[in-house]
Amino acid sequence: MMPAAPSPVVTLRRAALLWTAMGLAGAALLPWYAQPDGVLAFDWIGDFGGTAEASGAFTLVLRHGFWWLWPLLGALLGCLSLPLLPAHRRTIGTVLTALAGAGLALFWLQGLAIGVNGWTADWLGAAFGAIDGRQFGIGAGATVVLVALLALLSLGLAARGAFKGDAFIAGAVVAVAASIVIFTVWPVLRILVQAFNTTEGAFAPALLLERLSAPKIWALRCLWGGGGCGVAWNTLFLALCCGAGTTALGLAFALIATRTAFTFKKTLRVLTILPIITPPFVIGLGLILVFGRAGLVNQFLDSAFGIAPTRWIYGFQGVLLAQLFAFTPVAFLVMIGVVEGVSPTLEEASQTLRAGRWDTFRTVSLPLMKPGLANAFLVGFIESIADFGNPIVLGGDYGVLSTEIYFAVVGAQLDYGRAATLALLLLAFALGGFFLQRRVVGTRSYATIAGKGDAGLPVALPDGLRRLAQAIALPWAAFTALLYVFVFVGGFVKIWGRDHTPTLQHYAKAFAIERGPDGLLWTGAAWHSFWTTVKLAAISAPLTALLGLLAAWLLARQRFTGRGALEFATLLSFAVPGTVIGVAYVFTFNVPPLEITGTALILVLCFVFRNMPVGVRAGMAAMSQIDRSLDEASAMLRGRAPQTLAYVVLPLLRPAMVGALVYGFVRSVTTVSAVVFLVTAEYELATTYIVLRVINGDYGLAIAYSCALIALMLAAILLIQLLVGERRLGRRAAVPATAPVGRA
Amino acid sequence: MRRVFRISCLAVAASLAAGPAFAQGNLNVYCSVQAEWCALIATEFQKHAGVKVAITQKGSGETIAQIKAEAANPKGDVWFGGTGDPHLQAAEDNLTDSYKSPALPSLHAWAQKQAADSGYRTVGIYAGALGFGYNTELIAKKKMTAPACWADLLQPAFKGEIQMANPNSSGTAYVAIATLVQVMGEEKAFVFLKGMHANINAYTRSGTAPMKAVARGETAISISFVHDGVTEALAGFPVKTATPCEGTGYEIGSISIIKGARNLANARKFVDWALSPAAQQLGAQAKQFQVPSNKDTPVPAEAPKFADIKLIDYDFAKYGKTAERKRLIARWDSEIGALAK
Amino acid sequence: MTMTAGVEFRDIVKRYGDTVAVNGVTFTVDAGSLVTLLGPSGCGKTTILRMLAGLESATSGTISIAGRDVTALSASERDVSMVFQSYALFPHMNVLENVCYGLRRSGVAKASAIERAREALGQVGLDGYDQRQPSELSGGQQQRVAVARALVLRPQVLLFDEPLSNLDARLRRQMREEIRDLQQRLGLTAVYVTHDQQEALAVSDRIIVMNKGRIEQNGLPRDLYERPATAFVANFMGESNQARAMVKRLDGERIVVRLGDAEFIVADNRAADGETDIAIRPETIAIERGAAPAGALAGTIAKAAYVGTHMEYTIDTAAGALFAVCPRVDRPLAPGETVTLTLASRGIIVVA
Repeated sequence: MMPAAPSPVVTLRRAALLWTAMGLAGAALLPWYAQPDGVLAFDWIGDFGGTAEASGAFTLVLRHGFWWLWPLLGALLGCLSLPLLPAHRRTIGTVLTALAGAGLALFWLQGLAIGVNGWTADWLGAAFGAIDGRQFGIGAGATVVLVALLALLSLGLAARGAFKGDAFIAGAVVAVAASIVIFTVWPVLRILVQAFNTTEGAFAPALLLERLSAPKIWALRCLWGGGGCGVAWNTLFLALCCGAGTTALGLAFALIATRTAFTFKKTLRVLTILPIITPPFVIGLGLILVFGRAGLVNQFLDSAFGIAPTRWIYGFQGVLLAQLFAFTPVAFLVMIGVVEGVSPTLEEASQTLRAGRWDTFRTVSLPLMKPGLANAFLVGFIESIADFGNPIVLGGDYGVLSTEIYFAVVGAQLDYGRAATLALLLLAFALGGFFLQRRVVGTRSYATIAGKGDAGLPVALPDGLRRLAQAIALPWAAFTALLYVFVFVGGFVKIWGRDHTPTLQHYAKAFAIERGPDGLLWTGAAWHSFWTTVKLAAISAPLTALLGLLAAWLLARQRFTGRGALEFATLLSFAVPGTVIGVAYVFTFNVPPLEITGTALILVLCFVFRNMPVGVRAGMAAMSQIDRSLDEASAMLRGRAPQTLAYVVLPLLRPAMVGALVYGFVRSVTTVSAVVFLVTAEYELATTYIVLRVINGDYGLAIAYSCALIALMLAAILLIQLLVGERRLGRRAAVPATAPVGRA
Repeated sequence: MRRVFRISCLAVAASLAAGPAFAQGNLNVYCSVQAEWCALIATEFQKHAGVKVAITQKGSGETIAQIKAEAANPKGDVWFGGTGDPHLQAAEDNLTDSYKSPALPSLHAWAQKQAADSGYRTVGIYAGALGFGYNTELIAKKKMTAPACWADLLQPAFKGEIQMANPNSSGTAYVAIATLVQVMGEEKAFVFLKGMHANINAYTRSGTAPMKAVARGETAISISFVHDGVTEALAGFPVKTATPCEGTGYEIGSISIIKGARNLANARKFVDWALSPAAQQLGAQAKQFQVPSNKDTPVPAEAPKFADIKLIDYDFAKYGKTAERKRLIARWDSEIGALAK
Repeated sequence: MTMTAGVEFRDIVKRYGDTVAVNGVTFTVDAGSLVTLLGPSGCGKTTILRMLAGLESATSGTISIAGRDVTALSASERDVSMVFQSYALFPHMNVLENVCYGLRRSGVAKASAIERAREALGQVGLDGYDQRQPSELSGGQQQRVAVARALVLRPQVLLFDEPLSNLDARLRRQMREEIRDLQQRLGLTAVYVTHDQQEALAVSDRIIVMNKGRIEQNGLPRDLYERPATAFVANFMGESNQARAMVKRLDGERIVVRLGDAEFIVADNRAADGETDIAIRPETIAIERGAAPAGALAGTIAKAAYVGTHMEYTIDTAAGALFAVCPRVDRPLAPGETVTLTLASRGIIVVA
């Protein structure tokens, strides 16, 4: 028998009062501001209420004269009046929305207006009078209040009928939007505003035009042989080549992995994964070792044929090669889900319509993969324009926007305005790629996993295409393998490329463990940064995947105002180069209300919001292939939105989830440019440690450490596969011995 | 929704649990020298003063970017090491604090002059001369003679064999240009740069890249700080260095106290200590061979001897100013950077 | 068991941007009855169904189920179930898991959920198919799973969105009988969407014909067929010939309809005098060999087709080409033959 459900108004009131109570309890019982040693140190308990730093919000207002907290607490207290309101959903919703919205606005206004030194602007002091108090970053109490206010806002919006009246969806949209606004949009805007400022910080909007029109950005001299082209053209050209190249390679690998009976598929899969899990600079250094002027190939040509060694690897060709190595796997991960998702029935239908295997592929399979191809291209394109490690190692004279931005910030110029202008340009390119992709995919539906059982057999590839895919993918794979053999060997020789005496000294230096009187002593130089990296990556990967797929689901399945803006915002942090994000985070989060520099939290947040876009793209690509009626069926069968997500959507999204988890973990381990400004002595990361070794010319140690990281990431990927498991679609396997991607 | 919030609450709480530490007896050092050196300094100063040192190692460009970004709420106390130019720039931008250490009189004249020029906002701890690095194997194989003077770099034999950094991004390259301007006069210096352009194979983005390219045999000659070459040679690469016969400039590795430092007393203590011979010989222990600024510090045997180098009287006050730097770089951009290769 | 309940739609409007999909629709569904929404694609019938399900929200108006306003409730909060056109079986679950899904989400314990799911599978004739994957079932079997999955929740209202459109003709008839049977046996309130008028006539207690976001006519199946209110309904409900005719009122109950030289008396209490549109049902046209006498409707056979149970003819007449069906198949007429037509009074409908 169906349990009698309480009336919706009663449920709504109960939930709203619960959140209000939680917010008030947090405000009363927890310290409002951040504690120097963290809330869990509990040293504030003995002193609670005594000093302003160790007080709850009510104590602050009543005893310490922090009157500016009154209005926002008032908004929260106002929510206690709910039982007095008429039992009408819409009325309650309107009141809740107004109160929570006002509370949130007041929360940020006072937080931004009063900082570590009192008023943050002189006119505020003039308007409100002098105050005796200063604010540090928000702590546990303020966080609880913030969360409660966001929850109340969601309840209010849902009760007013927004989001089809679903409080979970309202909450999810509010949570995703709020977190993206706080941790992506706000910092990025703060840094981009610098484009309008002089180096001294004065506001001068005309400067932007002057900076934007610089010939260094737009020169086209390379076309008629009079010098180099502007960085904008360089970046664009490189990104287009990289997007096209990675998409083609990714497709070739995906086809081989799913549609052929190729024997060494597993090996192939590991090889395509390798570049993803390679720390920065390693690919670049490896390429120099093979193709550089003193590299293997040139030395061989020189000694065998007397061909003088050249420096072709430095410049466009070298950077493109390195980027193809680095980003093909991402394209592969996007493509594999898409190739798997193409309904075999449609291909069978095509074959029965007199289409040969080639025609079927060309006219049915390929067009069905269009969203995937467009997504893979977009990812390759944006990865390329945001890439920093490869251009810096191999670029030579070939400047691109990301390196120019880096040197505008850290180089001899120290010109945030120029950096911000270039970042703006880079963002514009990313935006262009985004809209191009939207145009290509359009609004056509490509759903091929429908609620009807699909009993078709995947069609084998036409011979010509199979051979082509193999001709592209296999040499590439072989070359990757070769490169990695070099890198691996490099960790076991004294000086890479010079003195090849075998040695274990690099590993010993990095990862020595000694037996001390109190047990094991982790004496290796790398252990500290290694464990920090593992910990932070393990925390951020699930958060990244969760947030990414949640955002993907909301964007793909829910209709709400501002959906397009939210979708763009998720891409924002991905398109902005790491250096800019790093500086933006320091700018934004070094001062109250969110003062989190120097903590592990800022690193985790940086990882999550930088890596989330790939989860979103992969999730949306996969979602576009899952028939919407499956979601609706679940809703009809009493599945509330969170249950639909857990029991229907996520199981069908397993390949995308694996992708997002792996990517989240791996990127957290390998990212460098964004975190350079965020690491501290306490939270040093593996990559920043490696980069410093590279700068010092200590390649042996850097490589040994990189190999250890690669091993770590492989282990993590296997663990993720094991934990997440496979997607059961009940389709028959046509090509034997397949282990679809992302599951190798 | 509730579960999502619960998870995020936990994450926030867990991370807040490890907030920044500002206890008494602490010192937060931004360190822009090599890693081993940084580590030595941390442990030795801890022993010396009983102060807990948290050291963050970053390049000098990254450090000044960070100090500038943190200016509203500084997190570091003192900035140790790295080329003098960014230190002077930080002084000019009012990012660092003035402090006259009692150790000043025991320093070399160049260090005292730089401190005075900056209004005592920064002071030199070591110096390194600008010069050439070259790959001995490549030079021998191509039957070239190693360069000894600036003028040698114009030889047609070196076509496509020289690397220097791009002054837009590299302080090293700017020191090279400023040096040439001071050695030859501005007009002649640019004629020289134009002439040398034919021999340059790349203007790299990073200042240390040319020396590494020399070490790996990617280029024969680089324009670099000579102590970088010593490090490469000690690592086993066929690298030798030379300093130009016409005279050359140098960098002064400096130390500055960050404005608004939370541990000001300790920061001052640290500066005094860093200028002492005991602290300055740690560089050599970490295999870094610049010339220490304290007259009483023993000069390491491997270090390029300043006495053998024809040093110019580098005008840090003039060429360290932002306006002059911008003007020279802009001129380089339009006259050299835009040339075809 | 939850009592089945009536449904009320009041002044419902649904807009997508500038497009009006549903334009002020009001109707009720009595408890325990099956009402069909019938109309061509794009008429708004599916949108109405989805608004009732809670999958779309109405722009304005109110929807009530069992007298309770559910307009602002989400799908999972309404006590309704739906059978989808695509079946929407979860491909990663087997048959039993699919049917159990809704019960488990409603908090029914696993053991009793399985028991009830088996019972529902038995009701649709799928005993022993528990462990099959949806992809291993035929279209009809998948359809039954979808019905069982919706039924097992014993919803206040059961919704069908073109449930038979993916099945072959024989299976379609069998399934619609089963659905009707189940609905009547269990006393369910059901709303059924289709574009197939025969299906609608066969399963419905009432039919609502939709066109361009509005209700054309709401009535009993027989009334809709025999007394369509508009030309659209007449044309949509079965075959009909459209013609213009002169009408003259005889008295309050009867009119005279003049077609060519012929006159027919028709029972009608609405039509006014003058020229008007009429519809003629093809099965009410009687055909006789030979030239027509004066005052009768003459025609020439243009096309003739044998379709097994009857003959289909197209006949050229003074009132235009008429389509007629004739149950006699033993001595078919050939094209070119001259015939006399007699129209039954019940077959002539004034639709103006």
